[in-house]
Amino acid sequence: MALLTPVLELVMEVNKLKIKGVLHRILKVTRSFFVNFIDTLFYNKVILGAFLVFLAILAFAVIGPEFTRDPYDVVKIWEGTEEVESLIYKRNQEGNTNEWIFFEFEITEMENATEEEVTVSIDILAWTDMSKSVLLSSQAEFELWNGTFEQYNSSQAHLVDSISISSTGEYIYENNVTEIGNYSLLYKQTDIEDTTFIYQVNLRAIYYIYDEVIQIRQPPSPQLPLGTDDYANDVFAQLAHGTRNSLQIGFITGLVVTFIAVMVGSIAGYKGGTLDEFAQLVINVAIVFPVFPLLIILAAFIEDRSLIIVALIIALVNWPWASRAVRSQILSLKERDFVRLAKVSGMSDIKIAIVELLPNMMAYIILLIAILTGVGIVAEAAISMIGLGPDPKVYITLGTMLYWTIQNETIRSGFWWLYLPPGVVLTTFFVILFVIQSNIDEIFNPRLRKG
Amino acid sequence: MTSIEGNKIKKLENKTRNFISHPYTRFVSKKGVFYLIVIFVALSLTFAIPRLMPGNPVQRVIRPPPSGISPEAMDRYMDMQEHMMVAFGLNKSLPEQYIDFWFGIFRLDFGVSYSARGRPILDLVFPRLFFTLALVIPVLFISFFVGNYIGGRAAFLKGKSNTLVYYFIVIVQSAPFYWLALLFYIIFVIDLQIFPVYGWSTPEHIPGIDLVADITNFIRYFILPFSVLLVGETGGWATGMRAMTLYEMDSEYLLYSQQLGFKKGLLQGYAQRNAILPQLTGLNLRLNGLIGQTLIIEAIFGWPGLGSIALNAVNAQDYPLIVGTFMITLIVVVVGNFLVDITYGFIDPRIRTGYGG
Repeated sequence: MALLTPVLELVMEVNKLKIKGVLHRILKVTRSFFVNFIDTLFYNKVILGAFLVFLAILAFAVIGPEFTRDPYDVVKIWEGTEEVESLIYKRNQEGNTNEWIFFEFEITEMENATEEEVTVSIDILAWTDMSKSVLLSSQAEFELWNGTFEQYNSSQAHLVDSISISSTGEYIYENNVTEIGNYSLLYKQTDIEDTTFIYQVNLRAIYYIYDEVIQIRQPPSPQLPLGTDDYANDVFAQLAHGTRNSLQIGFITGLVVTFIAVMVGSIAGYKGGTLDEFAQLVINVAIVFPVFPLLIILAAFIEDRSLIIVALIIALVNWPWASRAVRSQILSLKERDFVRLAKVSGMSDIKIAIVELLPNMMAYIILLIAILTGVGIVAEAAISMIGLGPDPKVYITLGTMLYWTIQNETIRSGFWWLYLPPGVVLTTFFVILFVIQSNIDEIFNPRLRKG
Repeated sequence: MTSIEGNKIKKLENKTRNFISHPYTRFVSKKGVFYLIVIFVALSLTFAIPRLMPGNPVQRVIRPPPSGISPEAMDRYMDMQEHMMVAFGLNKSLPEQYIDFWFGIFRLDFGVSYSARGRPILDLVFPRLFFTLALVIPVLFISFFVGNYIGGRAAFLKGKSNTLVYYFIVIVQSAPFYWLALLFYIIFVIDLQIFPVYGWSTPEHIPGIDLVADITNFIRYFILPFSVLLVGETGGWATGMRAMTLYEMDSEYLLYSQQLGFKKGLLQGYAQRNAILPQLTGLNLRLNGLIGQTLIIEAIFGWPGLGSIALNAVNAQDYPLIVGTFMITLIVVVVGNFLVDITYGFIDPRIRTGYGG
């Protein structure tokens, strides 16, 4: 309970504000619902777990799409396919020991190579006269400068690498060149008395040919947490966007259905009489209609199905039972003393509905929105899976992701990263829904909590 | 002679009067009128939906030509459209169309299909009805008995295996049915390769020659969609039954009889008999949900029921076939609901005798 103290303090602050009227009542009831709800969370570990998982999915849906790439991007990865060694130049030059000898060369852009991957290798061979006996001394220094000889002289070039060696014979100097441009290599032999040498320099560039390889049906890897699908799209990005779109459909369905249900249910339940009987008849008739066939026929006749239209279609078939539930709630509230008192004191019906009934319904309405959101998500996935949800070529939802796995028969080939993630998210929604529904009484009624 | 005849007539009158005034008769006729209203509204809706949608319905079948074609081609298109309008009776006024629509239904004429070259829709849809009902009816009854049995046991007995079975079922039924279908598909078709992939018959199989071969072939394709639906439904019943039995077990008459020293089995019988009545009222909603689920499961497994034909019709943009399938599905649902209702009325003594309730 110590955890709740800041919440309770906040509640006291709200009390001090003394907001009058309807707003105050709504605030009070909503607050008591949330306090009750948080209380339930700390009492019941299952509800707490479900709630936290729901928050995690919500966060994933809200933040996820901002950090992933465009779900319609064709994922390409630079991949080294072939090692190429090319001789850039070969030159002989005369020089003396204890004297810097300069070689200038230029690295130009190489076809199909990323610059940073070029390895420059320089062999230096030194002969006295032309007798071709190898006489590279045991002491020598290399310096690699970025810039031409003139730039070096005017000290505009900068040192890339310097190295002293002590070996005899052939020496191969290797360095990864990071930029294209002019380079100068300085070489000095130190420990031999003054002799004239003929140096031969072979400059080679070693690089890989890189290609943009389109990644189709790639298994998960650190760069692509859930791999790619048949169109080389990032499945993780698709999942993030799909969860967001599915949640959007769910929320729209939840809000619209709850609005209709509260309207129909409270008017029918409160007014009673012929109006109520007529409303009940309409609700009973509508409840007999099977949901999925109705969804199929409605979706079949609407060609451009956007997220909102699909949400409205789902709302259209789900309002009857929600209205019935709200009506029965209103019926039980209507008989309470405070409502009768309000009636006796001459309040108008609309005022009673807004001031007395609705604030007391707030908790129920919030829960109804939550349940209908889940219903919307699950129903959308069901009709999307057979291709009647939002246009699968334009919108990504959890259902259209499953639709593509069926269309492309990835299920048969065991590409688990394509069909498992949307299914897991959907199942999680279903489990949360089940937990909420089966613990409804406990959330509303603190007296039910045992222990 | 006359007195005997008069007596007979009187008896008959009495009988009919008793029959008419019997509460169960009144219950059935009330329900009958209600479901007639439902059918009327539902079929009117199928009349209204295509006509409420924007655009000329004929243009769904023959697409309007692109702008900038020659005037003769445009004329030909307009001619064709005119012919189609007359052929489908769309040139008449709306009330006339509505009357025609109802006459068509009474003659069991649901229109003709575009994609099946003008075959009557009833001929196409009626054979498929058998396949859907072959799934729906066994699933509804088996899941009702098995689910209630498991739920009742789970509430009453506190064995480890009982609770385990119960929670396993709860978790399985928490998964969306289409997702369950995919999982079953992956496990049994791809990994274990026990069941065939898609459809309802192997290409080599010729029906009507060998009865045993017919049946085994049918069962091999039938078992997967059947078990997916069965698992989900059973879980639903089990959770409901457990809650209801727990509620009954808290009631005073059971506590009292427990203190009187009744046997456990007897108590269980009492509790479950009372717990199962609310479950029976749920049978209606379950049936509606089950038919919807069956349509989608059929489309996934290629089972040739109403769902498959509806999906094929949607893909082929065969609008009369979509509407016809929907109408026949609705009639099946309404008849099923009516049967469930009158059965419930028969089982519940309060309705059967007219006392209480």
